[in-house]
Amino acid sequence: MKRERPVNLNVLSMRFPVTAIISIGHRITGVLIFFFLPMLLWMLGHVLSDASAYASMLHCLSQPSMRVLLWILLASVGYHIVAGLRHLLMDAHILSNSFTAGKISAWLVLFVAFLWAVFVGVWLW
Amino acid sequence: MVNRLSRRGVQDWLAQRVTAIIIFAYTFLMMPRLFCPHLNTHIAWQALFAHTWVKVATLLTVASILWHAWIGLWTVFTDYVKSAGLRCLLQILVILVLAAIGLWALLLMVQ
Amino acid sequence: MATQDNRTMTLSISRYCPGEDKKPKLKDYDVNLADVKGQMLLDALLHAKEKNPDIGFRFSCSEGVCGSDGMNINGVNGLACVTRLDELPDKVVLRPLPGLPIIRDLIVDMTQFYDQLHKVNPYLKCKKMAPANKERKQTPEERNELDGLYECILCACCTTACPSFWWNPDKFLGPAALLAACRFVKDSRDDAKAERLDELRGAFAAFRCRVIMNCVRVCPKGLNPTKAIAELHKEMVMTDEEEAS
Repeated sequence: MKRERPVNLNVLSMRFPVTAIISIGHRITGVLIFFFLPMLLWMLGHVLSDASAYASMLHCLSQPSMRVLLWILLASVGYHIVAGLRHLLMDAHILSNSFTAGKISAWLVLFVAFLWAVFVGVWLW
Repeated sequence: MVNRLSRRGVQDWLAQRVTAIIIFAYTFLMMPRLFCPHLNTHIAWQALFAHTWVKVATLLTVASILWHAWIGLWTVFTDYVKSAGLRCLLQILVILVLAAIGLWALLLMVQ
Repeated sequence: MATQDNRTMTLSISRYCPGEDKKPKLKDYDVNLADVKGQMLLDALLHAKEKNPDIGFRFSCSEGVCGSDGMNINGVNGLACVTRLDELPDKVVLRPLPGLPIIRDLIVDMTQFYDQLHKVNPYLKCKKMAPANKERKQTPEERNELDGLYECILCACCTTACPSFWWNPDKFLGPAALLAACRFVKDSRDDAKAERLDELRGAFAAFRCRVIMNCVRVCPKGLNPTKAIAELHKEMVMTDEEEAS
């Protein structure tokens, strides 16, 4: 009887550089945004409808729970775009692929995304 | 021998980047309107979307989002979902959702 | 010689004996560094093995060129023979390289790693015979193109640190194999560049790289597979496919 050999995939025991954190964050925000797409279309529909529909949409979005959702969406979009720009710059060889450049640009992404999240948070409340 | 499948990597890689640039350009141009009180009014939005080119740009961006999202989610599924049956089901669901979003956007633009 | 460390280091080693253990478990071994002959983690491991001969791990050259003693050291892949003891904390957790089947203790089955390497045909492909009694010549500039690519010792630290490889070890070639592919694509003496690139145009072979850069962080030779993969992407996008002849 052939036994399956175990594999070390004990991810929690491993240490990852900031570049890895950026990458998984990019993936998570991407998936999150997908789930928000229907909401975006819903908003667009109300924007293009009559004035009362627009007003009722704004009223709905001012609910605390909706503001939280909106914050998550906008913060995710901001992170995903900034991390995506970093990818594009590296692909175009404008940003270097060295580990140092990778780490510095990763920290920059985190910083800008954080600032954006704070800005949107303040704007929403 | 190179066939359609064997060049899929290059095509998806390029498509991700091109659609990303389109989405970024649209978002970059639209985003300020969200935060400017005098532009974020119902009348201002109506006026903006009265232009055909805005509708075209919007649909182009929606199409880009659909393709970009599909490639991204396909990658996620092929990483984490090893059961072929479950992966197939999830992919069909995603395609349906994306198709619905695309058609919804189209209907909104032609109204 | 540097001042001898007098610490007691606890090596927490992942032990797994097929047939006896259901899954790997960490077991602690205390080592008084004053008794260890040598300054590297491998020396401490060998010292622990003197008292516990059943601890299984690969090693050979003990100087960072054979690539045998790759392992996960406190969460980061590395070679035991070039990891300095005075740079390690008192507790060192040693696990096998991630993502590959564990044969025993710290010894992993490298088959998948070698399979992916073979797929890139890591040897020169020349259409013509070499000039009689002469080598195939390169200019110094052409030779410089190989720097950062030829030095790979196939230790697998990079590939086993790559999450994309973990999720698709049979389809995604991984950092080491792709670095090797780039090495031959860049070699002016090789005549099969278009053919090599065409082999990599599929959805999985070279395009699962998410620029996580774990590979760059762990490479004991300071190589940059992320950069090599980016070079391959650029070459594939900028060059046409070769028509089937």
